[in-house]
Amino acid sequence: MILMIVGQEIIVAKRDTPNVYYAWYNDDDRLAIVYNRVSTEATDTSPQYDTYNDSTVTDGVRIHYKSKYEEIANITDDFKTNAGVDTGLHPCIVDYVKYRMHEDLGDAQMAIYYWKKYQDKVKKYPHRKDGVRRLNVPRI
Amino acid sequence: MTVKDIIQQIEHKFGRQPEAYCKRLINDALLDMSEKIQHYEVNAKEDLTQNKKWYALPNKLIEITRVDILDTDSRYVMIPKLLDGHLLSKDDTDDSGTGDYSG
Repeated sequence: MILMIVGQEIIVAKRDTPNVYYAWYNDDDRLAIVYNRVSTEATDTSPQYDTYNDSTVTDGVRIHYKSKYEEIANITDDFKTNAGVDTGLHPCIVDYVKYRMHEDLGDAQMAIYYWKKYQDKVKKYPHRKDGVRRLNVPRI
Repeated sequence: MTVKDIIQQIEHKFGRQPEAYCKRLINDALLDMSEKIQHYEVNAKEDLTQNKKWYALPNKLIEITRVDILDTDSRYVMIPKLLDGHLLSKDDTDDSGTGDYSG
């Protein structure tokens, strides 16, 4: 832990209760980790969050995120273990590939047939595995 | 199910196809599905670095669901998200990736 003295104020970078002192936000490409400066000055009206200034911590940040599936590279790759695709979605891949191939062959009627089949399966796929029903409210 | 199984199913109907072409279409399918379904959740660890504010996000990221910090007891603790972080952060004018450091 580091103590910094700025004017009359002592600023502490704590890591014993991170949920109190740290916060995050992000833009499209980057994640910002900031910590609360814990101002002791009642008259201090400056912004309260600042850059982490204590010593570097190996694997100190863990980010959970929804990800695109991993790309497959080899013919022996398994969709579940290598790409992360649930087994229930494997037939969708076949329908999508058939749709694209018919499209490339100029067979629009069959392309539309497989595209709709693919869309239906993806739409009906059970997203929730916790069994809890909830509203799917769009983000604004 | 493996990539080979899918290609065999495709070749049953369309005949012999170039492997690279099949793999490209399969990867397109995975990309399209991941955008529509968004159920594949993973985590990544980064070093919490002194005087570093901005951390690069992986290309395959769709949405951040949670961020944890390793506490002094070596446990990961979830931290809150700032909705107006740019307004609250101290002198947030630095785009070089290090941010402002008041020390």
